[in-house]
Amino acid sequence: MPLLELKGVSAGYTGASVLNKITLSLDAGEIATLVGSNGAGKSTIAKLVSGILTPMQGEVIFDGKSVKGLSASDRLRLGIAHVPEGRQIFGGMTVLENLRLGAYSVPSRLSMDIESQLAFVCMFFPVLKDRLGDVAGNFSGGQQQMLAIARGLMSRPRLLILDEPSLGVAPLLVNEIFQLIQRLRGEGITILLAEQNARQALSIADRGYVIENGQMVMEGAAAALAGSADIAERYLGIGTSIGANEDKDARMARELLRIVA
Amino acid sequence: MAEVLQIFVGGVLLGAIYALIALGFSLIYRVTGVVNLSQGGFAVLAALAGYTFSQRLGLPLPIALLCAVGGTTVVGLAIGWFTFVPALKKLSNANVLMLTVGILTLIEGFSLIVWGSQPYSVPAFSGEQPLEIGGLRITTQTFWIIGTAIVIFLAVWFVISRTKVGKALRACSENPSAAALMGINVKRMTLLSFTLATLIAAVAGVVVAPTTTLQFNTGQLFTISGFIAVVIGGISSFPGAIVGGLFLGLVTQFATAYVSSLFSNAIALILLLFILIYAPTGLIPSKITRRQDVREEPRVWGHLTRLAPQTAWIAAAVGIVIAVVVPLVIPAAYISSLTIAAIIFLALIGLDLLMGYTGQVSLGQAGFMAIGGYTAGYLSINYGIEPVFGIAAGVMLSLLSALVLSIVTLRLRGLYLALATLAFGLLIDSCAIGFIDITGGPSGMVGIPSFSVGPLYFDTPMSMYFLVVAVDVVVLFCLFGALRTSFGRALQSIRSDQMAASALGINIVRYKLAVFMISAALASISGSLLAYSFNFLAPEMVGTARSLELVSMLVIGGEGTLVGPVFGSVLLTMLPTIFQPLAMYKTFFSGALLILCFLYLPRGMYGVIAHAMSRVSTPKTVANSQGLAEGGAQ
Repeated sequence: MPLLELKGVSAGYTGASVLNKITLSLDAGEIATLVGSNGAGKSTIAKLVSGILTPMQGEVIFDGKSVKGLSASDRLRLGIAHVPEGRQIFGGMTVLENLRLGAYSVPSRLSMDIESQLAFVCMFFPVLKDRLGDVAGNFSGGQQQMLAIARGLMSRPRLLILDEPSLGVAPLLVNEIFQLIQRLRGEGITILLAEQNARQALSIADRGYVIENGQMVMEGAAAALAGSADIAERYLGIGTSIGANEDKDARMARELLRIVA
Repeated sequence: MAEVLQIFVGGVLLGAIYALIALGFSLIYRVTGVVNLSQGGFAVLAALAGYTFSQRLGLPLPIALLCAVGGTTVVGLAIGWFTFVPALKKLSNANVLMLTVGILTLIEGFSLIVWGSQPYSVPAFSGEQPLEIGGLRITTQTFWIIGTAIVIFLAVWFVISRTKVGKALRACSENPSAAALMGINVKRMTLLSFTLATLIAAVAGVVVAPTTTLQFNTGQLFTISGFIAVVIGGISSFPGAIVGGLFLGLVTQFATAYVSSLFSNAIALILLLFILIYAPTGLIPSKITRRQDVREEPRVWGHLTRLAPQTAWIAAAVGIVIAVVVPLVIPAAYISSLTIAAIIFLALIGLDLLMGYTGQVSLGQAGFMAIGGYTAGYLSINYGIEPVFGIAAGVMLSLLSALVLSIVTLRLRGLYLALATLAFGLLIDSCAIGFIDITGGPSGMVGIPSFSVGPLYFDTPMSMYFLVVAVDVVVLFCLFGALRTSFGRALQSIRSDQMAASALGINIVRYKLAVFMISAALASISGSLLAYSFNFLAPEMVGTARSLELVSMLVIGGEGTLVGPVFGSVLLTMLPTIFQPLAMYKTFFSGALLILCFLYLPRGMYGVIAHAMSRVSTPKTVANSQGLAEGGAQ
């Protein structure tokens, strides 16, 4: 049974839809990635799952039950955590305070659990362990991203939604973050990864969904998608077999045609 | 030396009071990004309730005070739930600020109904006999106040920095959307901060009550002092509230002792204006990064209300006919009220241009009315100058003041702009009271002649009425003409997005200055006419209460419409005259109306009427006519 299912989910404002009948499913222990360009609707899917937005149509099913009507905090308690785009850490607070806020939805009587989770997170992110008392706003982009993920882990989620974790992070750290995501899967956490950086996302994912203008245009095993010529051309910046030698004018004309269409 | 110490103690006492109110401001601001001007109202409500419980009902003091504080907090919770929390979603920050002015007015109106307008004095908690300490005489209430302040500061500090709820409150203040992702109920936290601030204000109110005389509108003074204190200190830091409060208290006390009690306020206000220019984040800026959401930018109503051109011409003609016929048919006693409504409408046109069209908040518009009124009155009384030149002199002086004030206001937006204009209005208030030789001080300026042009005298209410209506109509036509040009479009672009407007090459400074000057001139003329019409001018006629009333009238009538405010002006001026016995309900009524308009009728009465008219005029193509009504007339 899949851990997360979206069944014909649409979202947007009346008259203008941002997402159109998206259906996807994600098994426990998997990494699924949503790839697509800026504004395709990846973040909207993330928000629908975590309960920040409500769908106009369709259903979000978590662990076999519909989560319709449940608030973000209810869903956190069910085990859905959302690490938002742009990190959104609490810059004026210390690392420790940020992490404790991550466990806000955990009842105080389970303080033992919170402490053990804190120890787990510190083990996972040694960078943060040494700087628990520092104000988070002074961190670099990569460190803030680590903190945002760590904060998301504090509620012991079963499903972790990561929205653009590589955005605004130095290239060296991007690799580190992707390795981290793989290690998180090793800990038994299911991951929904929304990424523009399609190549790296597909390289660590089990399953991939390609979103374009609010539509699901392609789905399949990540390896197959990464190998597909169409994906390679559109999202990975690699030309097709003849593409490398194709003269520039023709390529531009084709690009233009695609945009016009 | 003893004298200086005595003043110092007085300053600390006053400072502690200010700091307590300031703390409430800071608390709400940190969580919501909005300033709640109703703070002082809750303080006075609690104090008056405490008086009733202990003096009238004879309850023992501790129980009476507990009931007063508890009752006020519950009222605060209810008001927060029904007005403040829903408003945060719907309105821009500047409009939420105005909404809290409405809440303040509502509370004052309620107090007026329950306790009347007479002053109350409350006995001190532990007797009136002051303590002698090292040659200083200190009242026992001082210890109560300072003690309470310290306890509250420690309690707030503990809650905010040491508890889970405090952490959640801080998370909401830093980043509401991320706080929601952590499972924090942001709405509940907003309500909590509002209620906590009410609780603090209520406690401050009952403790401070014995040191002052209480009246239904004392709350304004608390609010204003607390607001000034919190801006001096730095609005988003708690230590700032304390430092700002103490600083303001000491400055006011020393200025009262060594300069003059009449100008102690003025000195504090000038200080505030300098701080707004040189250190707008206050003496103790907060470490917290700016709020990450976009609520700082005013969220404006999609479009301004417009009538289709032909409907507009018919409506204008009907309006003028009504304006001419009404005074001929209504009882003569009402005509002078109608004249006042028409005079105030002139100031409202200017305010609408400033607030409705350009989106610049002004809480000090009556300051220009005062400048115009007193200048014209003074020149006419002492030099027998022609009223027209008196008005012109008033306009000149107002323009000059506006120019100086614009040094401060042009660089400010939203909250700080509101504060700067409020400070200006208060400054003029204290000048009107302070310069007794010129203005007649608190008792007012008497013997102002009636308006006249050469041999033509406008000394009957009827003649004055027609004169003012003629002026209103001429001004309206000129402005409507001007607004149809690129001038009007430039103003609206500034209203919706200053940055985008300047990116389009619109000289924001020039337009804002122009509008500010026009509105100052209109307010000034309105003030002069008021003086000539009453033959008398007192500070409260053109004081800060009037400034706030102008804003209420504008919102109730309909912002961004120029003619809409006439409904607000006539309604709030005429109703108390027509229903004399109900006059004491006026304050309550206007507060309630202001809140209702903000929450449910964002386009005011004009919006409702215009909507109805556009339906009636072309019933078959309703959708089409609505489109015209909303987008047309450009």
